[in-house]
Amino acid sequence: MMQASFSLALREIVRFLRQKNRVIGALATPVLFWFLLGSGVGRSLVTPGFRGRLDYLTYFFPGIILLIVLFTAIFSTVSIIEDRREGFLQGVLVAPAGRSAILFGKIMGGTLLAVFQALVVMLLAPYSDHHPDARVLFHLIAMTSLLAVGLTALGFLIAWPMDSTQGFHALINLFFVPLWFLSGALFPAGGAAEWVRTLMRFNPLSYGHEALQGLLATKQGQPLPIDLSQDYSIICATTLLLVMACAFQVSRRS
Amino acid sequence: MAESSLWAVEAEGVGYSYGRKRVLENISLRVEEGGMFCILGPNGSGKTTLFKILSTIFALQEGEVSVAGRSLRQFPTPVRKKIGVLFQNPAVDMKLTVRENLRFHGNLYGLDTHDLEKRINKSLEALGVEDRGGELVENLSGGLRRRVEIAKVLLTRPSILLLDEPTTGLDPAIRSELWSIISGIRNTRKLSVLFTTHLLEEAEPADEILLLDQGRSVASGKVADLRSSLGKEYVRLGTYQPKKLAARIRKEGEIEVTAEPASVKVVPVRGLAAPLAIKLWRQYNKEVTSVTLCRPTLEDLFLQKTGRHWSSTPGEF
Repeated sequence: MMQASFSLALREIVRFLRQKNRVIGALATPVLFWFLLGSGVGRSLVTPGFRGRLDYLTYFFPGIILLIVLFTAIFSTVSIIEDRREGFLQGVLVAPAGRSAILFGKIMGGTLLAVFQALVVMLLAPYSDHHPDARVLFHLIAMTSLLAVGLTALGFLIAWPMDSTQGFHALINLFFVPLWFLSGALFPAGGAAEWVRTLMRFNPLSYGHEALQGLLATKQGQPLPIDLSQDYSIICATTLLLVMACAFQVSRRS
Repeated sequence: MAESSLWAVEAEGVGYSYGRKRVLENISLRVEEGGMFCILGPNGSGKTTLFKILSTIFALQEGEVSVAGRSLRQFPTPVRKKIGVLFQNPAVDMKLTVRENLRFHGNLYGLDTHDLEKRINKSLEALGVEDRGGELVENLSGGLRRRVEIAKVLLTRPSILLLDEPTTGLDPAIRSELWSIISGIRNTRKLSVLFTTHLLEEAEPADEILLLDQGRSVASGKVADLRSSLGKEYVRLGTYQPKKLAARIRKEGEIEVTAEPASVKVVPVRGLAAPLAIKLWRQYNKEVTSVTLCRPTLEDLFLQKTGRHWSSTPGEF
């Protein structure tokens, strides 16, 4: 099964690299968002929730990393619908590797792509006044990977029963976008209305954002300013739950 | 169950429902080892559902199926290793090259990586596409894509080939090319072949057929036996006024006459069709545009069993 999963993951990566527009779209869009929105808002929103240098370009940076992971998860799972429609998926379904191989292949492929892109964008970190060292980088990769697995699994869960990409995009807008809005990516919980703050507290993605934000704000050689154990455990638990839900879903044959 | 290994595929009492909608009812079939079996039916007859059950995509709801002597219900994985499946829509990745597609397929089946390259070369050669290995599948023509797909399926050396409407979307020249490729493979590799089609002429070369209509088996058996069970040869007279002509001919006696769109079918009750044809041609020379001596076809079989014309079945053409 591992051979099959690796092969599926490799296929994802080859397909991604072969579609030049996708490479540009996946990297340039978030960076453009960051630069335009970050520079546009500038210092207009200075609230107690902001850490470090108090401008929006800095604040928005962890949110952009999150957005990259989110975009990649969406793009790599929407291909399930295309694969199903074009007939490719049927060929995989009748192979002895089993259906879970498809799930793990997709997740592995989506995660590798997401982490790779997040790392490329993190090269811009110094421009946002972040200077991650090796220890911080390790945590950043670990947290991004966990988030990528979880979000790819969520995308998979939505895409698997669908037969049209339009329907998928409609649901994505309903699910993923608010999830990202309410993660602290755009604004800190501190200044938000009470009910929004409650929603943010129940949004697992908030903990991912919190971790990324805390990690990126760590100055070289300094101890981590936040305790990551809560963030890790919430993200791990959610991710595990989503992967299990996916495994259950693919094992059901019509 | 030792006896069952004589059959490449054996299905007994297969039933299937989508929710409350019943689409297959008590279907049984047996594909001989090395045989060519056709599931023939108009659109909506349930043949694709049956195909999806046999190819392990759909779970078996009712009945039993065994492939190469292995129960589909109990041993889906060994069954999957035995079958090579060709779907209506090509199951190849357009964004990958021919060789990458085959390599991917080999990995899905857990083939040894060292052995895989050799197998890929052999498979591509067998289908005459060895010089296309580096091309993206999206740049190939429909016919070549089909060849690549067959090369892909043969990579795992299946003993049974399952094909779902394999000629859909191909032009007539490529259709016949595809069938000659399939029969070539069948002979050299001793493969059993099971395919579905809604085209009557494609069913003719099969050893045996199963005729499906509205989820039920209407007839099954060897094509020649089914034909002879339908009875005699008959005469078809082409005419612009079938009803009028039929009424006149009916008076001759000792024949069965049916008016059909643009023709009249005349079946001799006694004697042979050939002399009857000559007699009718002479007698009704002015009204008749053509005379054809016919053997009962699968189309007649369908008409006899369902009371409907093949071409008037829903969704057809």
